[in-house]
Amino acid sequence: MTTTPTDSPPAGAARGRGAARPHPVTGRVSSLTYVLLCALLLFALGPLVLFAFSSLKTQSELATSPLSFPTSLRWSNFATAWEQANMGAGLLNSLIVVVGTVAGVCVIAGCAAYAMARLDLPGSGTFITYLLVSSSLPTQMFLVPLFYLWTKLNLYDSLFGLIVIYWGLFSPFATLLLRSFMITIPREFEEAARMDGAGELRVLFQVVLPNALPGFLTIALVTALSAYNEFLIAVTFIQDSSLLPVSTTFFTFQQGFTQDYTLIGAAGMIMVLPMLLLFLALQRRFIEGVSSSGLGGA
Amino acid sequence: MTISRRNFLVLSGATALTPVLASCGGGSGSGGGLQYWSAFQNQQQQDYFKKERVDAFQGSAKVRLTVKPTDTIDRLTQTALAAGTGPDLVLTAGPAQVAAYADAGYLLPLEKYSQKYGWDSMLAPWALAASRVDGKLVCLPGGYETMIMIYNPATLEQHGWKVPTNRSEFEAICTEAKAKGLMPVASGNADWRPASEWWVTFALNHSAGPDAVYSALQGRTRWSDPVFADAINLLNGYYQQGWWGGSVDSYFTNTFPNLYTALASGKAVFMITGSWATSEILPYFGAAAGNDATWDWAPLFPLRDGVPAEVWDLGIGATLSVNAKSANPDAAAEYLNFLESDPKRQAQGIAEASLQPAPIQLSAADFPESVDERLVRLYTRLSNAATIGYTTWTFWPQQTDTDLYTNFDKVITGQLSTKDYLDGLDKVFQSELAAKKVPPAPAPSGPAK
Amino acid sequence: MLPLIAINALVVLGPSLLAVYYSFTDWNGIGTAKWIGLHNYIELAGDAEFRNALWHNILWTIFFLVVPMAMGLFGAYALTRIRRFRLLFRVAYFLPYIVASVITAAIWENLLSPDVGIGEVLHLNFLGSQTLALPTVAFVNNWAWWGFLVVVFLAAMQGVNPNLYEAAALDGAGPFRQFWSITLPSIQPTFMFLGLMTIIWSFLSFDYVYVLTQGGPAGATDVLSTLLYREAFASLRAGYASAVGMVMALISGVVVAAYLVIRKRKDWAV
Repeated sequence: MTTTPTDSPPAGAARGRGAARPHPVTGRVSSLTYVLLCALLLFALGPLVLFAFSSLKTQSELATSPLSFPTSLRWSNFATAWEQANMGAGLLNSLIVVVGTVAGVCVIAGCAAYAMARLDLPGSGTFITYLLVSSSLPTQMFLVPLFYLWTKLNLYDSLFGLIVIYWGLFSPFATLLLRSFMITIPREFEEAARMDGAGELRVLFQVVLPNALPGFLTIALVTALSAYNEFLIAVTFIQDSSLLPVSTTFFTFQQGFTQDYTLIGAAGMIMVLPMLLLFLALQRRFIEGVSSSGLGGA
Repeated sequence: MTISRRNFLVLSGATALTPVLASCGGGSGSGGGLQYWSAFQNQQQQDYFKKERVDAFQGSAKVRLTVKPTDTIDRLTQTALAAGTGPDLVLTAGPAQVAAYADAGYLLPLEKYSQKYGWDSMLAPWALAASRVDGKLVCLPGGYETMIMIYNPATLEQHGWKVPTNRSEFEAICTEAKAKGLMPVASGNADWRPASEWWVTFALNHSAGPDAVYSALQGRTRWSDPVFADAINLLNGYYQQGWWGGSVDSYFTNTFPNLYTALASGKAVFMITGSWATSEILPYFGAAAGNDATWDWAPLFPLRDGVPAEVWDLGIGATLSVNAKSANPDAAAEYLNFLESDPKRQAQGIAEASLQPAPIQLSAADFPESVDERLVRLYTRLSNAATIGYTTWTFWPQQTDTDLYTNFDKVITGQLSTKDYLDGLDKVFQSELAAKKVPPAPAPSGPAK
Repeated sequence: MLPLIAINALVVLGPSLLAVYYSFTDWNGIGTAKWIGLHNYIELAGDAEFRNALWHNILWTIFFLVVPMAMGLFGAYALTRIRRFRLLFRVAYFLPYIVASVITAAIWENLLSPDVGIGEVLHLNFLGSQTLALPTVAFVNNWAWWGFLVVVFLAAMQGVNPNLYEAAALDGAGPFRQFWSITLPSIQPTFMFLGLMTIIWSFLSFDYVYVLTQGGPAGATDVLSTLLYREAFASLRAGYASAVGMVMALISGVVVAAYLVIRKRKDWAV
């Protein structure tokens, strides 16, 4: 459930295990299982496929036969949507925001998670509680004070300012998630390195980071999704229309052309595509990451 | 004169044209020029405004227009002002918002400029009255608007109906239309939830009547009086019979494009709406829509004996002020004057882009020849209105107004009785009245000019 | 840890503390704020719109604790038991999660439309009806959400010791018995943590309601966050809106505290 802009998947729970393997299938698999799985598959993909179809239809075709395969493929919808909603600039801005947000969150959450998992600081339990509670505050509530602050700090109406807000909003979850990865890395690795005379920094860069890589990829993907899809804060904190990320151009586009659902379809497809490719590229790593994180079972 | 927040967003291509503005290098940066944030109903309007009202301004400073999404411009402006910034020219949705901004000291008093440019004699007195907060002129009315009835003449002809001029004629047509499976009144609030207040405005001014409304706005009578209960009950009855939007359920999901289409195709008979609809409706009629449908308008009729035959509900769709923090207030006021003055410029805006005009006296001679005759008729008659009514979004204080449309939806779904609805409104209204948050209103009779 | 604290204090904590202050004032979001003590909170207690929104949040929470959780558990468990196409299913289930909420809303608005979509076929006005609107919005939200749970639960289930299943199978336990007595207890911490996050997020829920119905029709889908938004920006009552936000934060705080107590008793690591 996407909730607010703070939205991101849950952070790690539970004691994790190292790389998990699928357990061998036991018992026979009933065909009913496949039927149900396929039904769910249809439920997940059906609307997406219809949506893709609608982006290739003419308006009148969509009105008369909304559920059929398009008779002729109107690729021009994509060009029109691209132009009308200025999606090129939107995507470029989104790229900057996503890369900036992901890089920053990885550094911030990386440091914090490492400190919490390894340095045995006092009060880390309290800190976890704080992170949980601070993620449960409704963003709409502090929008105005935050805006005030951003104007004073000259961060208003700049992509960097937006990125900093995303750092603040998305870091707590990323930290909790990453921490649970790091707990699972056996301490022996680091101790061995230290015995070999490696300094703390070298331990960090040569032992901890490589081992936590799946964890970083996971929080990177999750943060990228959150930043890419966020619109409420973006539209508030960016005044200059040439700086708006694609999520907001789509949002306003949808209202501007309610009647032309084919263009909405095309614009939506354009917007989804980059994240889809990113996910497909990372999905194996991502799922490994989730498996080996604290989210992996006991 | 640009948008009103009642004008929702459906047709606002506002964002679609972000490229245009982007390429103009519009920056939030204060880098010279007057910052002006606005929103538009459609691309055509925006292009026209940019060309004729922004680029054409030859004043002492350049105007930098930034287009905002229609449904968020209010919130963005509010947030920016509260944080001590914002554009040089502050666009608001109406007097209630102006009062809040003025109380906080965000708006520059304009008396000095009013004398310099002679706004007192140029603008309609009712509109100027509504532009004062604590006796100080703090804004100028941007576009002004009224409530009208739009219909498709072919539909009426086909069924042998005439444009209704009173309640019984109206109800007879609605009954017949409903029986024939038509939607008697095209309405719905899926695109813009506050649209419900358009029809409450209709009921209050045309059933209770402008005198009763004026008296309650002054605090002399209460909203809980029977005359208002009758008005709300009447309107609610129309909803319950399925006259408004087909049924209560579909009222909540009817979008404006669907309603305009229904009007054009003859599936809906009337539309009771604001004068802004005369521009929104264009893509759905005639060549633009690939049909041969036409539309026309008529003034709203009384719903009760004793209410004048023609009441023109007045509304200020947008106001313009000068930001108290503006680095160049003189130039900002100069630009304000440019936007408000010259009947010919106003008339040309109506003719070419259906822009809502500033409330100045317009006569038929001001309009260019290319103008749509229906619009000339509308604005010249409006300029000479004998009795005025009060749109809720202009003359009600902010919180009462929000409750008025939010809770009316609960009346039509049966969650709230008319009595509880009006008692609740009255309570909020009295507290806002005591806090001096009620915008000043002109008396109902006498020419509006 | 310091950068996190600094950035969090700047973006979340500082502005939130200001909001705490505003919740005790009559601030209109624009001008100066006047201290009015507990007045906003007293008004909240008697506000029918607030109770209505809170009730919807509770229903919403229950829905998200039951439906997506059940779908997620079923999907994940079924996937551990099949040999082929596991990757395909997993990726497909996850896809709706990567679609932005505005697009998901657009997809379903069209699909459910009473004029051309499923609504026309079934003669139901999903988003216009008082009774159907809330479940419909929740349904649309769930469509984009449950696949994420499949992936997470699947990951957790893959960590379960396979020997346990073998032993159970030898004892003659069927798939259902195995699920109840082995899978579920083994993934309990993950399960509980997702339950916690579900509750927290359910109280923050905003996007789908805002885009699909704006809280309507007639408040039928109003939740605390849309009420807060309306009070702050339509009624110009930012002080009151802050009080709504405080109550939301308080509820989540209580839930987090309860979770932490349980966690301590059961001796889980977070």
